[in-house]
Amino acid sequence: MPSLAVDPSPPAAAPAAPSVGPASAPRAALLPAAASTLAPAWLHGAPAPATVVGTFDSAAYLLRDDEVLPLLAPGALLLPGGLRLATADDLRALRLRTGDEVEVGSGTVLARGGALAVRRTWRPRRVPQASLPLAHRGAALAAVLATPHLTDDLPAPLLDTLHAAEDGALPDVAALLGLGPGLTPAGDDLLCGLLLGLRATDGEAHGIPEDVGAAAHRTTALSATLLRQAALGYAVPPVVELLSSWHGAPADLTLPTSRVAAVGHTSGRALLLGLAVALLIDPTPSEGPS
Amino acid sequence: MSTSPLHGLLSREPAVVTAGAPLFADALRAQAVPVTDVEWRPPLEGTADAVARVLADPRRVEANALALERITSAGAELVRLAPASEALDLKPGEFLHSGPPLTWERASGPMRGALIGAMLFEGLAETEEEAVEKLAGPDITLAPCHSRGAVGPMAGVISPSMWVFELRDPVHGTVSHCSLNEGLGKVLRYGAYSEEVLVRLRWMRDVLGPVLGEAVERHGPIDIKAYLAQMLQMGDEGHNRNRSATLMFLRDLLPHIVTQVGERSAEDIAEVCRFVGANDHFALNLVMPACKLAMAAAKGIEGSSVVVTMARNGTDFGIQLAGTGDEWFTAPANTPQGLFLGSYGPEDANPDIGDSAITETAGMGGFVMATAPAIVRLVGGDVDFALTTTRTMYEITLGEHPTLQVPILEFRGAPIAIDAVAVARTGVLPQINTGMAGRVAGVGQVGAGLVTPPEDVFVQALQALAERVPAGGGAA
Repeated sequence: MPSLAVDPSPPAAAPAAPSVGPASAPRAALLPAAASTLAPAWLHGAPAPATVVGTFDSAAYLLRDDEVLPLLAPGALLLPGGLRLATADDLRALRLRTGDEVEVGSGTVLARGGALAVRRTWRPRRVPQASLPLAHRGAALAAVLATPHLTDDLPAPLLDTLHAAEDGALPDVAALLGLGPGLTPAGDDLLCGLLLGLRATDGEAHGIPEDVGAAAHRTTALSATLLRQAALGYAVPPVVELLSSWHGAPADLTLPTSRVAAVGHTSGRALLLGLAVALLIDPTPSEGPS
Repeated sequence: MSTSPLHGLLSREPAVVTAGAPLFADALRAQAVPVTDVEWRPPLEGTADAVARVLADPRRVEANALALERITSAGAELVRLAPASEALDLKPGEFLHSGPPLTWERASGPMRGALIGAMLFEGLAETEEEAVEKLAGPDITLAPCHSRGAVGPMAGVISPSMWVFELRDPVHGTVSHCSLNEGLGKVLRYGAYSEEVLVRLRWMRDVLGPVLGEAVERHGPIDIKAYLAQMLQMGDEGHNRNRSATLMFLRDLLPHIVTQVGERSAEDIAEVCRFVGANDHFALNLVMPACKLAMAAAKGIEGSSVVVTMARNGTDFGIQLAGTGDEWFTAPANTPQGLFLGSYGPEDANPDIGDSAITETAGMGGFVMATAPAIVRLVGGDVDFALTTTRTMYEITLGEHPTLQVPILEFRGAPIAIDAVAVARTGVLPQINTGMAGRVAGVGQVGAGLVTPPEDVFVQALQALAERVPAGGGAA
């Protein structure tokens, strides 16, 4: 649930509200931003450089110390640790380019075109942690496996992982980490789904979260950040919605499942594979597989 | 879909939509909350119930679509000129005037001045005093031009001897009439009635009317609707800029005027050409009846909330709706604000007067100011105002005219068919540009400016329309 509470520790350097500085000030007013409670600590620490590692129409990524701070305009996928802006214009105003250095600290981001200041915090949603009854488990798995084009364009090892899980075999975490192109490799997406699925079913985790944590440095910083958050149960809203509806009253899961499938180009479907793997490798001890 | 409590209100992202006071939106924006501002305001005071009933009228959508179709398809051809006694069957002692119905007692200065001048012109009085006495008596009949399907600019007084244009809509068979334009300054329609005014009126009766009438006879019907489309592409808007249509009219008739030399003196012929060519407003009196034909085509459509008449008599502003028959809805007219001639000032201006707002009713005039930005030098405002006005009028109209187009807006069609419901819901009032008459009878024109109807006419009209919604067809 997003909180409109004011950040209890307002940044000392920032004025209380966007204000017009002296006429000679080179910068426009500070643009308001909302910081996730999961944002890296360095957002509020001593000002120091961070690197722009990616820019998109409605999002940009800043990196320091192997931790990524996503800047998210409305319409962007709500990554759990993101710094949210009110409008896409605000993001454009910063004029970020990949490779730029920006100064981040004391709750502000100073870029070439402008500056952001944290005005409030928001709390990302967490997936529920509870055991999942057998009937719900079957319905959840069926809905995932019924997703159209579920495995299109996904690297072969991901399919192998799914098939192995159908036979009860655990995934090879080391082989999946960093597998695939892009800022969030498909192998990592599967692992995110797996971590979230294990939490949402409250099943036997087989040490997988520990394996992922130990090897996280082997993938991109953004992916590693998302994996850390997934291990704690934080995910993008469509995934939280789906896992919540697994636990809700029995209902058609087609729509929430398809919303997860629609995330990114392949990310959503790789996430779904991870969820399927989580459901498959954790047969409920008291009852046989359905 | 998960069935979370409160439809997920507490678990999902709120989508914030704000209306009215910006304080809420500003406070949220300052906290990086995406906000969608909506230009919403409560409907005009006193219209909420009526608007609800009218919107629930199952006939409304089709009725308005029919109105729009008829208005935009109506044609306008000038078919003849004739004295009003013949064309409008106007009897001695009968006078038509602009705007909604009016009595002598309630008539404003310029209207009284025009009526006095018309009495003198018709020979029904020898002096101003005698004219006033008779106008206040029982033997003189006053009626709105609109009651005869006619229109008249400013005071709009039409008397039996005056010549009128007769325009016909070949699509719907309707006919409309309008007086001939006298020019600017000391003229009858602005309330002046001095000897120079009467001399001009007699010349218009004896020379101008017959010569133009003969020329139209020889030329055959003239497509005035085509002038409307062309003048918008030539920087005129048809209410206070009519230069291009005037010249097109003169160009079309000139051969048929000059061939009358021999039947008439060369001086008369030359003076007719000079008079028409020198009066940039001459074609206003052709544009107005053309607009009247378009709006007349939409009269009497049950359930339609389209405004078919906007007219002012110098005292009251009146409107009529397609769905409320011949009933007038009136309120005290506003006084225009604008630019003044010579040493005149705001204190000299009479309240809004004239049938010429039929141009705005039909998507011309103030509604297409964007196409005639030069008009702001006459009526006030700036070029941005002219552009903004046209864009704003789309908020209260049903459609865009297929042939009346505004080049500067990428040839977008003129905003056409004012919807009284949209006026009530948005609070946007139709923008009229207009000449200003002197408050005192006899003064004449004092300037030109901008004016809007009083809100109350829309309130009354919608209440009347709501009362006509069939039982069971509307909301309680």
